Order: sequence, then C-alpha cells, then structure tokens
Amino acid sequence: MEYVHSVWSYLASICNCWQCTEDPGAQPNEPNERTHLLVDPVNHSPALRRSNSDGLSTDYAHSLPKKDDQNALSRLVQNTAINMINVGAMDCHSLEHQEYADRIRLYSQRLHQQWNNGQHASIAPKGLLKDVPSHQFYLSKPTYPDDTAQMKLFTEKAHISVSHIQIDHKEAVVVPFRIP
Amino acid sequence: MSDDIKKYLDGLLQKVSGLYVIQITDRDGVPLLRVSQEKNVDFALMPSFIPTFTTACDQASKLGLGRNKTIISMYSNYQVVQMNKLPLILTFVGAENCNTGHILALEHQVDGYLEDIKQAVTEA
Repeated sequence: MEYVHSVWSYLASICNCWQCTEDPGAQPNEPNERTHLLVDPVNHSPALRRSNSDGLSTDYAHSLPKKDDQNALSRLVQNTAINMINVGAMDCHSLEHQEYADRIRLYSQRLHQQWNNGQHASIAPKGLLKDVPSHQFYLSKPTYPDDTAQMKLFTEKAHISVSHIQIDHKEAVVVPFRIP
Repeated sequence: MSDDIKKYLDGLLQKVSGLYVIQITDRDGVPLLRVSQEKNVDFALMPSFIPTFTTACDQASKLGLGRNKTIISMYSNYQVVQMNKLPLILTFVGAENCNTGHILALEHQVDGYLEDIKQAVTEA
C-alpha cells in the first residue's frame, strides 16, 4: 500500500507541473517570474538622463528649493531660535568700568535736567489703603500717662453706653410657614 | 524732585519691616536711584547681578505663560525681589523673613515715580 501511495503522489505532482506550463487562462501581459523589475535600467539611468542639456536644466530647476520655501525655512529656524529657552545665554555680561561710570554720569545729568524744569506735579500715592507702619515703629515710641488715662476714660464710657442698651422684642423673629 | 523720590523710598524702607534696599537701575545694572539701610548687602547690587535677572526674565518669558514680570529669589539670609519695569529694573533686598507680599504691594505705588525716571534711560 505504501508503494501504491508513493506512486500516486508522484503522478499527481507531474500532472500539476504539466497543468502549470499549459495554463491557457494566463494573461500575456501578466507579470511572472521572467518579468524584469526595472524597465530598461541602462537607458533610464540618471547619469545618462542628465547628459541631455534640456533634461539637465529641468532637473536642476526642480532639484533646488524655491525661494518661498527657503524664506519659510529661514523664518522657521529664526522663530525656533527665538522661542528656544537658552540657559547658556544667562552668562553674565558686565559693562566696562568706563562705560559704567559714563552711563551713571549721563543718567544723573538727565535726571537733574528733567527735574529742574519744574514741570512735574507732586505724585501722591493712590488708593484708599495705605501702608501699615511696622509694629516696631509704635513700640519704640514712649507712652504718656495722659494718653493712657484718656484711653481708659473712653473705654469706661463705651462700656457704660453698651450696658445701657435695651432691646424690646415686639414680634417673633421666626414666623411659622402658613400651610393652607 | 530727586529729594522727594528718595524721601518717599526711604519712607517705604521704614514701613516694611526687614526691607534693606530699594534700587532702580537700567537693564545693565547701572544705578539711577538707591536707598538703603545700614545693612551691608552690596553683593546683591553689583553690576553683574542685575543683567542676570534681565536675561533670566527674557528666558522665563518663553515658557508660554506671558511676559515675566517679577522674580523672587529666596536665600538663606536674604530675599531679592526684582521687578521688570523696562527700561528700568526695580530691585528690593530684604531679610529672609521679610513680608514678601508687602514688597509686591509696593509696586503700584512706585510706578508713578518710575514713569519720570524712565525718560532719562529712554533718551540714552
């Protein structure tokens, strides 16, 4: 039985090969294992194509980026440089001593000229709230007996006035809700 | 006018407990006005100190949160509050435990005086 099975398998494989070679349904233009992947690679090589003057100018025009693209790229690079947080730029750059002194003198002169014109109105702090002085400012001040006596008198009078306040209840504060 | 401003700033020094120095400079650290107490804090007012704040302020403005207005630096012995009033830089130096909120509240009061001082720097 094994011999018969092996013979049958061999005959089946031969039939498959014959059918493959004699397949009438195959299209004449359909790619197969014999078809070249690159169509005429020698004639279509870039080197041969660029030897043509017309083709060279056309390729050269297309290969370079347009001016608009270059401008856009420049703007993009510039914006990136501006928006990038550059910690290295935080290095100290101090002025020269002479320039420093000159600028101090210049500022002083201009401020004096500006304020000597007399055209500036007095600037008063705005707003209702004002700064509260430091508590040490008041603690350092001496306490006078007359001031203390006056404060005690005011306190006693206020206490007497508050103690004489009388409230006359005339109606109930909480009224029950009337449900019909 | 100069005396008025200095007198006013001296008054602010007395009002805020622990405040040692109020200085107005240009962005390169060149001083225009300065009032201080006897505390020695010259290190915070060196010319190289202010430009560092200016650069840090520029870089901080790139975080997408808007323009940087104030930088508060807390150190072990002092605190430094620097306000961006370009072309001026307003610098406060105080003690570690100085009321920072009180210093920040002085900003609007000083703005009126800064407008006059800005002209001297703008014309430079």
